[in-house]
Amino acid sequence: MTRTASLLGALLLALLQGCTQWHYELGSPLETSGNDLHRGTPIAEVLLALGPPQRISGSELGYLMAWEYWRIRENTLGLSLGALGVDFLSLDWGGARVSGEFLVLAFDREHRLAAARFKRWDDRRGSGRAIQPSVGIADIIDVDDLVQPMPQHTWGASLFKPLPQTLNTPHAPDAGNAGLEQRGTPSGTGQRSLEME
Amino acid sequence: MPRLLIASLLACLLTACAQYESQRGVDVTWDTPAMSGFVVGETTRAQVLRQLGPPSQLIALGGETVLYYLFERAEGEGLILIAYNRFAIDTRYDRAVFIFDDNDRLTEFATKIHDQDS
Repeated sequence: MTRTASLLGALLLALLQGCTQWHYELGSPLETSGNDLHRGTPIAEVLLALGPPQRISGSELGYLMAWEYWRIRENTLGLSLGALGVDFLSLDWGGARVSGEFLVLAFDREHRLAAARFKRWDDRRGSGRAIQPSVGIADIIDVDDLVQPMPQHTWGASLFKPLPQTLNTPHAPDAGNAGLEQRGTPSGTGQRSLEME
Repeated sequence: MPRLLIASLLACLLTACAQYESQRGVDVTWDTPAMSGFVVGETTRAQVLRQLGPPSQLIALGGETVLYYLFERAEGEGLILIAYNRFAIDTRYDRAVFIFDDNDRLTEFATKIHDQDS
């Protein structure tokens, strides 16, 4: 190995601060896209085919039920500039890719299927670049809103949340009587806008 | 200089690993033997509550009631190297839903327990 190659290799390794990958998988792939479900199908038949939904809500017209599956890939790469004499800065790159499936079914008061919608996606959900102190103050990729626990776990505590959220409980999508929402739905508009998060 | 490269390479090969498990929700008591006693049109809401305990979520729609039970398990593994780190987190949901009419009789129900080996 030549001296130049060794020097170059050592420099590259010294520059490489770290590469980190986070892989999340939430739920299981759906067994149907809903195409085999027809208007008027009894709710019992749907539950037999799909199992219990992951999300459920009452509505004025009946029940809303949703099944979902998410795969999230978050990749970040950092380079320290210490080997170049700028030891207090680092370069960071990152990106996230999200794929998944979501099936929502609406049932009328007679427990028969009234509407069905299915969506499958696989796309980028943001990227970032930064020059920042080596300690990495700012996250350049944030998928926290996509990997939160299901809202049913905090259903009983809805009246113990901060006041704006508590007052909005009758309209909150995770309350069970005001519809459904997908992961990562922005809260600035729509039913959560009064929660002022 | 080769010694510096070798030292750097060795540093990159230093490894650590992490494993984690997170559980949220109610106890899974809706296995098959427990469900065999539930009969549509006969079983009452009180019987289900007595057997399964308080639900994760309760929904009222007119005179109907829905009891929803959820247990969420996340299992994660991490490989931590100096220059490369990888974490994988797999989250599964065991769940059960029971719908009762305005006479508190069971009209529909379904359960799902995730196979841990799959």
